Amino acid sequence: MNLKNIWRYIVVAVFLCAAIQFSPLVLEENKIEPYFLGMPFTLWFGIIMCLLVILLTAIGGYVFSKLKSEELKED
Amino acid sequence: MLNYLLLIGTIYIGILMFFSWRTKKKIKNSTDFMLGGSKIGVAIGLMTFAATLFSTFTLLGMPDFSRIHGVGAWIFLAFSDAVMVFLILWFGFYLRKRVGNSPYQGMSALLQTCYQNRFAGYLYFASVFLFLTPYIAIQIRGVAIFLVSAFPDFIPVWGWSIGIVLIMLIYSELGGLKAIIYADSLQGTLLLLVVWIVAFNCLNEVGGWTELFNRVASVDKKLLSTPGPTGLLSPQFLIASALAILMIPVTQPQLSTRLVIMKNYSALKKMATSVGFFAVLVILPTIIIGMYGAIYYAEASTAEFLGGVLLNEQHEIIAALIIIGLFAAAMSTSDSQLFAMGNEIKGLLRLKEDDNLRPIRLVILLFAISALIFSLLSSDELVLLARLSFSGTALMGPMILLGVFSQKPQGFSMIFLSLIALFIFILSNMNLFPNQIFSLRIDLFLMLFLGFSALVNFYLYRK
Repeated sequence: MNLKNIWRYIVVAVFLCAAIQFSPLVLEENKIEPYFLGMPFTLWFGIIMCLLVILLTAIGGYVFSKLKSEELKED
Repeated sequence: MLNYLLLIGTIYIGILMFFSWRTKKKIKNSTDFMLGGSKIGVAIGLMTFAATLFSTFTLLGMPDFSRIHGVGAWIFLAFSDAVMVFLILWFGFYLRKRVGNSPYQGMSALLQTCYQNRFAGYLYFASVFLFLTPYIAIQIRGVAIFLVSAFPDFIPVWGWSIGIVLIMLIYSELGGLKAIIYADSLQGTLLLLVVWIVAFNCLNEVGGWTELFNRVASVDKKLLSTPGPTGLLSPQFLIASALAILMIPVTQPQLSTRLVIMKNYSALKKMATSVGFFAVLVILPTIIIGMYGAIYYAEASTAEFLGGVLLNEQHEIIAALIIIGLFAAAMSTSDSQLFAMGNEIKGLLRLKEDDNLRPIRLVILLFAISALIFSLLSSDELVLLARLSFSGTALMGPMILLGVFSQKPQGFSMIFLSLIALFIFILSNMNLFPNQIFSLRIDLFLMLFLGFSALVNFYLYRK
């Protein structure tokens, strides 16, 4: 798989995370359960999604800089 | 507490002045003053970006916001910030590429070059002035009000406000952006330390993590989900907020400047990831403090809650540290914003490296005075006012993205549409235009419309 495709998958994954986070399933009114580590659903799911996007940022940064390595030589 | 405050405050201001004095010696031209030498590494980059991004809005506003609207506040800010740091990877690369090796003259001047149209720069500057000046003002006011509640009958709100603006001006005018960046590192550390100390105290008081949420459930179960007890955190509100926050590094000059002055792209990408983790570390304790407030200060006013949880319940040294931390948080964001506006003016006036800095310093002073006047007139709803500021500047996002990503000028249509959108947004906030269009919030509708228009514009000009 080339770097361009990996970068595209990462971008799609971030959009997917946003779509899931703002979907009616997750933002269902007054949805508290299931609890996880003592936290209500909205909070723990939000934390997981947030960490996932940050992880994608870390991987995306690596892939993007490899993808643009030629242009970054001048940087 | 006053003695501790004077002691910690003197040390803090002493360090700020030391930074100013040290960096002043290295300033040789206006680029050194405005861009701090443009060689910022990961650690300093992280702290200055984070300290500029997280302000009184985070430290005072978010606990109160989550106390009233519940845990959905996490999605409102933390998730939006996470997506924002991802955008930095992409936008930062193209912005740095567009700026190239020439000294960065600010976003206004860059837009004039991208669009080959001077009006693009003026429009951007007008929106930044309109929506950032009140944002600076609410931060000054937030801290001033807090200080009045800490020391009643000592100094009035306007006195504290003038004091904050004076200190901010002295050290930024002396040492330039580099002094601000060094001070941001100190302020970012202080912010993180203070917010966690308060959160741990809250958790201890309530009996631990699980007990915190059990107790909140017994007060009001709606606090544990969206849209919260008042119904504010609806999907539309959260999506519109995410789009507005996503655009912050694109549209707010104090942050876009920091993307440009990073040493290289490698430092920029690491900084972006680190800011994401920093956001989690700063926002999580504000939710804890907010939940604690929902249990013990359910019926209290904002001032009573913040005064109680941040001052009265803390040890005197911690309370003094919190006051300095708040002061630092407000200053680190406000001075960066004022300074960035000075850089925008420098670009619009097309000043060169060796030109006299007096006009820029004068403009920074004028902005500071406008912000001071606003601070004496603005309301106390920090988070919602900050969100208004984010939405107002976000309207310029599609025009900026189109200009930065395109290789050739993109005509006048996007500038015109952004101007119309800005007018509609202002009229809507003055209740002179409907708040919804096709069942969508006006800010969400305008952002989606401008985003779509930018895409169409891009493909039309490509052909």
